[in-house]
Amino acid sequence: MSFWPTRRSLLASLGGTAAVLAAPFPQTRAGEARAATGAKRFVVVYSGNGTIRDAWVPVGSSTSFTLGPILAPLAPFQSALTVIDGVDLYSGGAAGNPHHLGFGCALTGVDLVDGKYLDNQGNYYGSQGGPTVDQVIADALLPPTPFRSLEFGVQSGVLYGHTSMSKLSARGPTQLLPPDIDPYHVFDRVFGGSLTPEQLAVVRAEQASVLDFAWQDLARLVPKLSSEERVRLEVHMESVRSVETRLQTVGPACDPPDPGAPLDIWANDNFPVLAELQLELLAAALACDQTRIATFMFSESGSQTVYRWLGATAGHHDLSHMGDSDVESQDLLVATNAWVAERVASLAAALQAIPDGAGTLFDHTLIYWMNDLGVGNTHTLANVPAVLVGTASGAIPGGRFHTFEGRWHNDLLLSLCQAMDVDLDVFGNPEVNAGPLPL
Amino acid sequence: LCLLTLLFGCDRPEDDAGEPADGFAERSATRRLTVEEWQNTVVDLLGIEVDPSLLPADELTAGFPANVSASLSDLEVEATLAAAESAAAAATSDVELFLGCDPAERACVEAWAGPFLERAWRRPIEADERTSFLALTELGGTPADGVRLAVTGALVSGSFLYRPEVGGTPAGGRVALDGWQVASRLSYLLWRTMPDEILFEAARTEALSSPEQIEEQALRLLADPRGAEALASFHVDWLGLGSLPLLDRVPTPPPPQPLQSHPLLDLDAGLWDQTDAQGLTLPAGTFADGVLDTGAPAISSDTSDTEIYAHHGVELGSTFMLRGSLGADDPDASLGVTFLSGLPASNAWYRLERRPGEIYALESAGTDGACAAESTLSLDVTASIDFEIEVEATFSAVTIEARVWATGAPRPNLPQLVCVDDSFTRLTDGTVGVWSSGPGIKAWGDLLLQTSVPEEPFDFQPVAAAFVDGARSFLETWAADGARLDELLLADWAMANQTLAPYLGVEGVTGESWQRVTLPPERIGLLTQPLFLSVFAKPDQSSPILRGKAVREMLLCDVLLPPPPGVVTIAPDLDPSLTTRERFAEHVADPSCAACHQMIDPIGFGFEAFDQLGVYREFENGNLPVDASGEIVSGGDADGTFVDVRGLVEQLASSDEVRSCIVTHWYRYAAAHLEDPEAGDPALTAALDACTDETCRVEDIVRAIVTSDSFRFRAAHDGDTP
Repeated sequence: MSFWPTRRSLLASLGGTAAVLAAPFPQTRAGEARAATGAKRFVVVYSGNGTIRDAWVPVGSSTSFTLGPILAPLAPFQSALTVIDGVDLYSGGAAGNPHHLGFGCALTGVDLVDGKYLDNQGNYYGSQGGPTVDQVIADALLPPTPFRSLEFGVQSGVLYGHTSMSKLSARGPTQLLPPDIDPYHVFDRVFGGSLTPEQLAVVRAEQASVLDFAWQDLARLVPKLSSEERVRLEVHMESVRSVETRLQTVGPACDPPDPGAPLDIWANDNFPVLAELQLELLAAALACDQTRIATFMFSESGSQTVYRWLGATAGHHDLSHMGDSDVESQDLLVATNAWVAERVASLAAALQAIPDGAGTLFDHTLIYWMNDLGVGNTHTLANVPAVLVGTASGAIPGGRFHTFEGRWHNDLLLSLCQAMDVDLDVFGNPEVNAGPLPL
Repeated sequence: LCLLTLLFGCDRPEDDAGEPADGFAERSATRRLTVEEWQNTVVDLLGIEVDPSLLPADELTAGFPANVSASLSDLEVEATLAAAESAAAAATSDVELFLGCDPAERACVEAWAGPFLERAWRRPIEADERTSFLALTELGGTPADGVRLAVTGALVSGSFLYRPEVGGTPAGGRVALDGWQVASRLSYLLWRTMPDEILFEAARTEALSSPEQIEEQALRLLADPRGAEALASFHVDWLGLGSLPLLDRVPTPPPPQPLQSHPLLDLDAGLWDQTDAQGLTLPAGTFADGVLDTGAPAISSDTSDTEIYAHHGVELGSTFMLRGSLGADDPDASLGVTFLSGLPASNAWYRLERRPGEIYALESAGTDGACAAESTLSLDVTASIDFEIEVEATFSAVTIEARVWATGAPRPNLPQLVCVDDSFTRLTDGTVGVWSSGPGIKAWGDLLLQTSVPEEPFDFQPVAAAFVDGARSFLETWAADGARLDELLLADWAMANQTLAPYLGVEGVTGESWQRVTLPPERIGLLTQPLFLSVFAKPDQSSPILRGKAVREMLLCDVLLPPPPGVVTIAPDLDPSLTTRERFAEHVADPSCAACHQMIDPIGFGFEAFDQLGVYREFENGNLPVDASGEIVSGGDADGTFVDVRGLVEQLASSDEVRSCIVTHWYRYAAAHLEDPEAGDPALTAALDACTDETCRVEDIVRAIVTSDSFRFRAAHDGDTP
């Protein structure tokens, strides 16, 4: 059950303005509301617990190859697909458990900030040590969109909601950007819910005043704190300003997909439906130019989602620990990864259906489907499965299967930045950089 | 001590109230209210309950939610705004009642504003703060809107969301907290909510400066029901038990049941829902059970269009078997039996059928699933046939297996026709029916339907909620009884309601309210309550590793580090025919695993008599006997072997090591950081000294912590005004 108050329920409490509720909501169509920009879009899709290499690696040469069972659902997009083998997820060598390192360092390219927390499972853990690649790109491009980035998730935080293992993106050290795991809230937040522009204007003007009051209070408090603590509350102040500014500029955007009656966002068996809803909303957010940068998390690091709809009875993480000769478990893991591939393919297909500039939205988008591990039962961070879908307006050729040897993941992140027209020579820890990958 | 005072560059400071002081102070971390604290504070401030899922998730520090490190993102700021809006809208829905006067009169709002903001922010309010707060009350369309917006503003402000400990004058490298700050420390530590009016009054009158004054208030708070609730929360946090409702647990399946006879779908008994049976012949009293006799068909038709069907609901996870017979004397007739269909609502179906001039086959329509013949059927299409169709509907697929044979011939050993439909468009319930068209006489025998007993669909959410609430009720009752540490582990009682009782193995409990019950002999204390046992388990099986690790880390305060990066461990293949214990013995067989697992698994084995839902069992994995013996190694005075969970728990309860660990967790909770042996906070030493034998109570620990200097002072920093 989602408990986010809808703008409608909020408005119902406003008394004086409730009378306008009956006014029909003037829907605009996606194609009209969206500026047909042709600008580049960047999406990271995360799924975890490693892959099954034999079923993941394509067969063939770098330009002529057949996809294995896991990547087969992406075959319709093969000419825009870049399958990258031989990239090691290593960012300097901090201690920590492999999931945490694989997840928390993957997109920052630097070590975790020192693990000073002890979680309920008794693990020390740190937090992302720098900005993640999506935020680096957002900071460099400063897209003129209402949201500088959007973070989506499906049941992220079941096990690790109190730690950084459920939050992929970060603006800087410990400045985590938790995903929105509630499609019904996304609908309200990004697409203005079901209010008319007039109603929304009233609500948002009030919210801006309230937030300004909150900002003033923080501004009085911050100078009295120690310099170490000031940084943290200054980020809070920036967030308040950012929300306040956005509230003054955003109107109902365009015709979003209706998420329908709310489902329990934590029930394991709702996972497929929630994933579908969130992917639709992500595609719509890009289509409506609400943002150009997004991340999407299938659950979290160390996910224990039970893929019951594929026949699994054990949690994903447990399943990924089963031995190589456990054929049934291996088959289920192949099915699990292929299921994610189908979802990635559905996102690509949705983007392909949307005209954008000269071509479709898909033509201008780069999707990076990442994992926090290479293989689940060894916990290796070597040879992580890396797949790019889309070419970022031709910046990447596509239709390639690369077999690198021992290249750093940071090199891939650098390549992604360059494909997105971000002028960088080094990404993350300079010690773990060998230049961009020849994609 | 001397070194510490040197560090702060001063002599040993004088205590405000003149008592001997330990001279210690540390940097104050600006805590943001936890979800629970926010919720309780809003209840006390506004009398409004807001759903906690509105708020940003807590961040753990030293195992407890404290929110001292992460900053708030845009999304989280919006969450605090949404929560504040929701609370303010509810609180001011009757604004006159809320204010106690008419908001249209400005004097009313002005009289309310200052005292309200003082309570909300838990400190005296500056004139300019009051002015800008009053400015909010003038916004909105009506005076009531203004009050709502002002309440929203108060709740979304840093002074509400955080517990800042700023201001004061540094002396000797440290700053004495003022009475308001001490009041909040006490109320959030012991009640997890804002101070009450007694604490506020003590703050106003500077009656919270001496250790005695603080201790007196602390004892008052502990004795209050809110103190018992907060104590329950402490234990839920300490042991990491609160997440259960988000987890996925399924019961151990009962042994497979044989198919049960379903009431016969007797064609002449009028059990069919609906027919479209033009020309249908229904001769009464001439039917042989389930056997088509061409001389006395159960039902026959000579029209070209006949369709009759009955509804049969199929539960996921169920199996049903359809037996019957049919035949047509003309090879150009079509007929069949539909065993799962959308009819009459939709034209989707799976059926066994015979098309004109063709042989019998499984066919489907309206779904993407495919049906295939395993072998060719060489049957005389004009003879009557017997069939047997088994349908299994699981979460992921519908599987159909059919045997078809000439009436009177032997039943085939294997199904000849198989269809597996795992498409998203598969049918999962529907109707059973018979159908025909074309020339000649078509006939069917009675249909015999047999079903497996449908599994009760298991909804874990209410069970998980009962596990948590039952444990909390136990902890609150235990707290009200004096909160002796050993009783936590050794209690021979628990709290149960009708949902929890069966999982505890207690009979005769009815109703939803909590009542004290005596535990069956196989259970003892908090660690054998279903909550602990199910949190530390896999979705469908027990986990000696998770349970052993929990004891190791939370009761023995050991730190078990993961293998260093780069060490590749190959997971052993697990033999499903073994007991859980036998499968996990692999860890000790491999020397690279044994170093850690010998400390973990033999403790976890002690809980093996309880499955993933905490249900007691003597056998597992069919009929393999459970062995719950084990050993604690490298656990100081807790070491030793045991034969069952009672032995394990008694060893833990009598151990100084465990008692110290519990005290240490109280310190971590109060200080919002791990203990630092180098700094050597005297508060921890005092708490450990106050809790040295089995008579130790939570109260002893709390008194030591709140009367220490680190509870009343903070270190000076560069943001202080000298």
